[in-house]
Amino acid sequence: MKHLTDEQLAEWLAGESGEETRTHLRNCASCNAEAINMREGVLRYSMALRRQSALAQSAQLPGNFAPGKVLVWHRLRWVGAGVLAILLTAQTAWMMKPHTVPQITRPVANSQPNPQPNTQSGDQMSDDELLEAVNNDLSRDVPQALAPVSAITLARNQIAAETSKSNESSR
Amino acid sequence: MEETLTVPVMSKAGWSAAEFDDLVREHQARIYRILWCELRDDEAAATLTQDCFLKAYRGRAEFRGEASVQTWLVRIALNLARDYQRNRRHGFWRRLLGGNEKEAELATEMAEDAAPRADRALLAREQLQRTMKAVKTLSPQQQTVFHLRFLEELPLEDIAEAMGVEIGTVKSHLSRAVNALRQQKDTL
Repeated sequence: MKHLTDEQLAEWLAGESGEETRTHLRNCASCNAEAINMREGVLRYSMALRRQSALAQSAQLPGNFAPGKVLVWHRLRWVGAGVLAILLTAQTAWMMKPHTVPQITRPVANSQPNPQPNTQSGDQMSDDELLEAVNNDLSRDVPQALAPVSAITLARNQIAAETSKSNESSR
Repeated sequence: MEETLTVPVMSKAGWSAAEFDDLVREHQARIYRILWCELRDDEAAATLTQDCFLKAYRGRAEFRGEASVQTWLVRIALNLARDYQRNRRHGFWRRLLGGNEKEAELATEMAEDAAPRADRALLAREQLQRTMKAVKTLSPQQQTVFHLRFLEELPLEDIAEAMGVEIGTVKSHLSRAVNALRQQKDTL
């Protein structure tokens, strides 16, 4: 008697055997024992893997995994990273930018301003005078930082003379 | 163990987030199991399970319903597992250092669980080890077919669809698995 081939046995194990195979298994004790033993082994193997996988799954996989929420968080993280990158770039650009050297400031003419201006004295500057004074101030030649020392000295003396003059006039 | 499929009604734009969460709950265990069998790595299986559902969620609008949801998810999972195995640089060392021990542990634990009596435990252990050895001799694709059929109890057509092969190929992989089981029996 011809025994079952691998294909026939595989079909029987997969539950897709034909009538011929089933008849043979009913009549052939050897094939029947082999098929049953094989099915038992496969079942045992499946159960083993299922149980192990279930154990691993309970330890590894969160029960409330929601792809929608995960994706939102994922996108938020990317947006956050993008904002951070922009901020860092802006800061680096600002740090790399050449800054202008501050100009020499001259001392304030009257260091003690009158907290209560005397409006009745009559020596209050008009708006036009004030504007002109400011214009004069702004348009005055101020030596640059890299100007020769003699120019700076001259400018300093001039400023000192103006200051003393203004002090005297205010008295 | 056939899991019931309650596929939510799909609108034109695919599933809503809430509907998809239900889908995840329904198929999560199966997808994890498939990936775990493919990779035998707890962490990687968990990561890829999440990746699988994320990928499915992103592409949910493109799902046309030609195959079942289950087949669609299995196909995504198998592709992810294949990519992972391809990219895994230290796979050889991992297998060399820890893989065999894990298999042996698994065989012992499970055989003892399945058959409490000493004589039956011994028999069960031998049977399980024989099957494991036989499965290990199969090619990765043959192993996948074996697992999908006997562990997940997927129909042969669905296996072919998920793996992107002809049904004849699936059958020949299964018969190769049976041949390997027979050879293991002869060697013991």
